[in-house]
Amino acid sequence: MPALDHTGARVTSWHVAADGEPINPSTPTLVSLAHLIGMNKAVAGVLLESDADLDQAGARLANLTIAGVKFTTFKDGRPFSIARLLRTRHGFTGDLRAYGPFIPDQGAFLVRCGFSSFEVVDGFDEAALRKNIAHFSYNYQHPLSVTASIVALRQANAARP
Amino acid sequence: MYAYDTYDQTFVDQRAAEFRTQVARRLSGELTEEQFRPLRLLNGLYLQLHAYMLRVAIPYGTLSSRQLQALADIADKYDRGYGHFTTRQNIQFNWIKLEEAPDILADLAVVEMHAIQTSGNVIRNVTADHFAGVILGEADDPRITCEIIRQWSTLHPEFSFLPRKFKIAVTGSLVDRAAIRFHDIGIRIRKAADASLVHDIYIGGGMGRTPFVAPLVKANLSKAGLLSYLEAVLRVYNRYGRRDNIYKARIKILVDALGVDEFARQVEAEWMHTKLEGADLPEAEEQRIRAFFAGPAYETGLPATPIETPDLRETGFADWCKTSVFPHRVPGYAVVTISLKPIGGIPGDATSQQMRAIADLAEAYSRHEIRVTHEQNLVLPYVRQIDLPVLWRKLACEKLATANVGLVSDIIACPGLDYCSLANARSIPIAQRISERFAELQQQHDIGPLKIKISGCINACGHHHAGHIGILGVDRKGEEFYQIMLGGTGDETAAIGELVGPGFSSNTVVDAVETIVKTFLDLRQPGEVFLNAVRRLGLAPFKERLYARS
Ligand code: SF4
Repeated sequence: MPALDHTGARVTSWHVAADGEPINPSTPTLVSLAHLIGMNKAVAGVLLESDADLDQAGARLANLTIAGVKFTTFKDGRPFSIARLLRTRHGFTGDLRAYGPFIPDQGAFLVRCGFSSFEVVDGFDEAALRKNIAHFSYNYQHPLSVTASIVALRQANAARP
Repeated sequence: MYAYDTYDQTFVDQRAAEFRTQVARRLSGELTEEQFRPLRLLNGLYLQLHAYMLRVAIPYGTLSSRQLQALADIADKYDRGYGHFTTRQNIQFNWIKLEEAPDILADLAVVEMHAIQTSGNVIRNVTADHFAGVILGEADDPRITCEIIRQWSTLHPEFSFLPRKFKIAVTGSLVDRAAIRFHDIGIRIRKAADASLVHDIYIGGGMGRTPFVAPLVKANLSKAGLLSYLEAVLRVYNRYGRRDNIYKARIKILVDALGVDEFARQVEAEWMHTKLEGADLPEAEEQRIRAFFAGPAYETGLPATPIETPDLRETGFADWCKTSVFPHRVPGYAVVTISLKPIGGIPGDATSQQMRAIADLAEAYSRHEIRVTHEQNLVLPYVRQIDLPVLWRKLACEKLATANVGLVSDIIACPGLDYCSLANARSIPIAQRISERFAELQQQHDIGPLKIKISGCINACGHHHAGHIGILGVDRKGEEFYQIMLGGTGDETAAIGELVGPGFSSNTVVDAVETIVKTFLDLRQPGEVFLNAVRRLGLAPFKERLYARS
């Protein structure tokens, strides 16, 4: 299955390890939250379910370089909250990948909540995803992605002589 | 009223352009209906029983004359020459062709309108007291808060796939015309002892299968902390609201399951963090938005009473003044409600001709501004009292001067089985027949304030739980039946109506309503209004009369 970065360009997929599977530290690998908590040293990233209790992981999340959050259906929006919490509260600064049946038209929402890459199935409409991410010039909310919010732009304009 | 800047305009233009490509992908077969459905729903496009329906957002129910003209043009160009104003201050067009929907959104964008978040499991169009800014005793114009929430909630990246739809209503008055406690979040703006503006936040109200009057979850929230607090509420709901059962997915169920104190505690804990995350609006931006709602420059020294000639009295002007004209906070002015409930008509419908007439009248007599009420009427908020007689005459020419606002024939009804694919029974014909039964205007004035609300199924879009007389259409072995509830109200004394007994067939439901009204007339004390009589008497005397025959 292909993976895409936040611009929609192809990148390599990560290995998702079953619980108890030995980890090869040279292969980018995700494990379950329970598995991560059981490790004494984080040699892998974590793949979070949409009902994950992030507080369980304590300070570990900040040290990870990769992580994923899994959608159960595109209609279940919990991964958006999980992503924002990882970024704003748990100090995660690495590559955050969306898993599961999200749709291309959620691309911009995903990026704006802090996702930086996507694991997709064969046949996924990559062009639609790229388009969606790049579509809006402005957004109202304070951002986790690169574009400044409309509020911030208005402030900047007002401050200009 | 609020005017778009280049950011708002670019945003809405790009939204319309995006939908055009999505529709093209659907029409070419690139998207299946299943894949297209979530996309069209995010743009207010529903598939109803007979055709597509487009629901256009009217933020907090405020329209300019130019916007209402544009809606009339859309009704003619893309629909059958009329539109339907809804209980959420929006307008629906019922006969839309999919291939034309992108053109409608483009036409709307030209007049700073859109259909964003009028459907789907998102924060819907924020509603407000329809007398905002013009009524006496208001702490603040609630539309300022509404516009702030509108912008914050528009395509919010985190809250666009909630467990269920999410409705917010705001009032700045102690008198509640926005039914705030029947919303997912109801906000009352008050002046604190130190004259600063604070918000009381009610959470978890709603109708539907399990109606709740929202409890007060947070009192005295400072204006500056509003958006971070809302983010905290929405995040708790997004993470912990139920997603396994559509009937248990609204926030009211979460609040009820956790208990108000525990829910409030979780929100408070979340708020400690969201406060620091930058959602709150800078003071300067709040001031920028506030300035749009300063209201027009009022004339001073106007005579303070309408000029009533005997001639006008004879033809019903006085009756109309009694029901349609409300006091304005500025001397010499009045607030006028235009009834969209002609006897035997479809509640909330307006023809394109009527829309244009109202737009013109607003231009001439109300500073180009119109409001939509959640009771499916329209309001002209800035009418000089000296203009009332001529305004009344002109409204009457368009059949828009029915003197029944707030009376028994001013009925709220959802679209029901005539349009809606979820319906169990028809609502509109019941409303039409009730209004015909009470067609005699003097009788209506004698009965006094009485709100009848009708829904065609348990989803309660017609707010039957909050009706003084609430009527709910149900399906009984393939036949349309109607349950009747008494004593509900959406005002500041919010209450859920109580079921009076077994349901009525569509043949007998109008008789039943008449029996209830007659019982009230027989038993009322001098000056007593219907709701108070029901509260005093309880259901017993009504039951007795309704079910005596059997
Ligand atoms: S109450 Fe039921 S029938 Fe009426 S509009 Fe809502 S969903 Fe349709």
